[in-house]
Amino acid sequence: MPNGFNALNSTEANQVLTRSRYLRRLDERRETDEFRQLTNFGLTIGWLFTLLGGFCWFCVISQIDWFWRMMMTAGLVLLFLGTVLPQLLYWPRRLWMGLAHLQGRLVMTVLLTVVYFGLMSPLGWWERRRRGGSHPFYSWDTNRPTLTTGWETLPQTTPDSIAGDVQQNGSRSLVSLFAETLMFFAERGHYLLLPVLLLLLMLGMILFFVQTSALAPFIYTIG
Amino acid sequence: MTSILGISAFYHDSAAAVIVDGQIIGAAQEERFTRIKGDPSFPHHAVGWSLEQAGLDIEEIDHIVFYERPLVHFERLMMTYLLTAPRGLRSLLHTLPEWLTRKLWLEREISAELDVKRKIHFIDHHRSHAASAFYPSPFHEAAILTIDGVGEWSTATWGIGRGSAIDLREELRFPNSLGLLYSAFTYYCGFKINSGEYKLMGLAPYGRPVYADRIMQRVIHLMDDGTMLLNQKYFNYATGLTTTSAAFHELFDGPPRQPESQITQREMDLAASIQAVINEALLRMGRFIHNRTGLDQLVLAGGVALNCVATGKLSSEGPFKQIWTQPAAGDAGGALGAALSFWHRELRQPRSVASPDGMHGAFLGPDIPPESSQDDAILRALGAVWDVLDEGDLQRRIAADISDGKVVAVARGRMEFGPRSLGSRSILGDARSESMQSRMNLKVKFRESFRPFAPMVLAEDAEAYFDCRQESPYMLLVFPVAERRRKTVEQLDKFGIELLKLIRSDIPAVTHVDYSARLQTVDLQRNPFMHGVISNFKSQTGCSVIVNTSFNVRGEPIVNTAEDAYRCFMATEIDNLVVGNRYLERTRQPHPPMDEAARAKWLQRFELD
Repeated sequence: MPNGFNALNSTEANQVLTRSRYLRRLDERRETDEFRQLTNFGLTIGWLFTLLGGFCWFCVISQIDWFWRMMMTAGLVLLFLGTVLPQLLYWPRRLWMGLAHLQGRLVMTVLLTVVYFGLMSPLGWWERRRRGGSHPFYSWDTNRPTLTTGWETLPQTTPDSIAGDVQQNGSRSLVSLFAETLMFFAERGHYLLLPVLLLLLMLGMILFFVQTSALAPFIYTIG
Repeated sequence: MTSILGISAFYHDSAAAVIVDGQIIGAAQEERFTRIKGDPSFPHHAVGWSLEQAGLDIEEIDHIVFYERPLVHFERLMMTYLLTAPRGLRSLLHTLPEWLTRKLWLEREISAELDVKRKIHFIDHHRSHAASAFYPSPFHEAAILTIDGVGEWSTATWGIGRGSAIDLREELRFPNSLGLLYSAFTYYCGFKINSGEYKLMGLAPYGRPVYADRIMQRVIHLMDDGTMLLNQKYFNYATGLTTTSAAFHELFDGPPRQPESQITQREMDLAASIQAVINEALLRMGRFIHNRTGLDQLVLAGGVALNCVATGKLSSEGPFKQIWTQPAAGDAGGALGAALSFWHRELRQPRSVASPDGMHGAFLGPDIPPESSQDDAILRALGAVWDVLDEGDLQRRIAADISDGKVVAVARGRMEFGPRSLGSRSILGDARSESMQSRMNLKVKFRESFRPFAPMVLAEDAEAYFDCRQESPYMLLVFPVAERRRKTVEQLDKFGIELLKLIRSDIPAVTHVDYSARLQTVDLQRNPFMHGVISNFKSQTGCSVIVNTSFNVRGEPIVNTAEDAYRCFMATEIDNLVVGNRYLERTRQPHPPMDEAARAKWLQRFELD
């Protein structure tokens, strides 16, 4: 009597399926990236722990010598694994980066809250006053709006230039994208928002770099 | 040769489309590959498949186009937070970190995802919708209307398409949005936004529009041209993480319904009320646009265009002689629209109008060919047993089984692009059967018993069964069942779901409680295989209508491959399955069907919608 059909087990059928060339390349790329990240993690944190732990153990008179010794040992282990068997660092790195991410979110939450209440709220109050009742966030109780149409003329956008389509490097520097963003807001007349935007974009860039770095937890602590 | 890759991603229902010299080579949604409904992640699988279909490597693609402008979207977010401060902190903390680290730098993000060093082009969200609606339509000249929740700033736009030019004239701007209004009621009635809207639409005929006046008088200010202001007192979407506010809950007599809890008459009445409002708004918009353009053809796209009750009303009662809706009207279709817009607008290429239209029946996805050694190997690995029939025998056999009351699933040919199954990935049944509706809902789809099923009808016989003014090849218009087909029912003491059990016509499985049906007209040109199946069914039974529902279970994306099809077949009580030219009978499969426990585990894979 054959067993009941198990729809969750798909290994045999999956072996038959072939992945597209694009997906095979993606798999290879992801594998290489992961290998590189694990090696970087092992070497960066390994050197940091080894040097810091070694320095404090040898040169600083401290009551927690055992701690510095452990740190140095952990550093040496990480250096060894990062060089020889980076695959074993998969879970340590995930845990480390998870902590970095959490820390990043916390720092971001605090900074964004400060920017929101310190800068955006007063600017928002000013902007609402400037616009009178004409801003689009209508709310009413008894006096219904008197507007008779909601249609607004659509700003005409010019077609994208295709010059240099292939030649232009898609990975433009973040600085040029940063400038483009500020220019866009300036062109649309949002001068009031520019200082806020400058601050937010800088915060975003720091978070962007730091989220992908093994040094993240230290940078946040220093910051 | 010029090739363009269109991409929509990062919000909901990611997709990719490739066009070569203006011809659509392929288009597919990522969810069909990853098996995650409405998957918003970067559509690697869809891109990979599209490239294979075109026979190109990613480096050989000439232009890459994204369906939205991130900078304009970001401007809307910033202005919203500014104008609503200090009430929007929670939303800002939820949204901005991802924008500041990822979404604002999409050019780099997309280049990195695709591993290409190439300029990425961005097309306005509603222009992408407009292009997806007009360019593949059968019209040389047409009025265009796009309506959805929100694009960058626009929530609706209208314009004129003529030849290869699209002139978008006016927009309705955030936060005033027909789509967001409908989504707010979807959420309030306990359904998931971006997937539960169909349920709300299906629920509406059970209720009475008792709240419609309250909506019109308190919640919105609907103008003669169909645009509206939404009273922000009742909404939370601009500043919070939910769509409706406490004032909304107070106005409609209680908190939102908890998902999966009992549906009451209140939800049915709310669904009926918001549907009435949407119908009226769309009708007014239609009249306004007809008045301004003087054109008799209208093309539609955007998520709200999938509300086929409202578009059906616009077709029946509105001023347009013909309406054509892009079958992938939601964000997935934006990938195709962005690519087409780039071809005609940026590259200034002429357009030739295709007949019956340029969507190839919406069969633009991955293929399950009649014969394939790879599919044979997959099915063999799964332990399947089948007969191979030629096309004519297959059509006769399907028709005979349906007329015997069996449920037959079909996975054959290229998969549909868009949310509707149109015969390539469909479950079929007998529309004349009185028990088919509840059997299909409870034993095959495992979904709520109130949900209606849609009919497939031979295009040439459509008027014999339905009061339809035009063809509906993509199942995107709702029309009434013809008067002469109806049966009088005594429903005085019945309400709610009980109404569904009453037999209202000689095709009861596809007749909703208000005698409406979401129609798919099947013609020989777009869909020759299904046309043959229904023609056989007609010659065997005299009836030209069958039930057609998507080949999936509740919460599952529509099946894609032969493997998906066989797994779904074995997990449900579908009687027989067609994969390519193979006919698989339930009773001959060596494995018994899943037991209750295994099925429950299987269904857990799919998040409830």
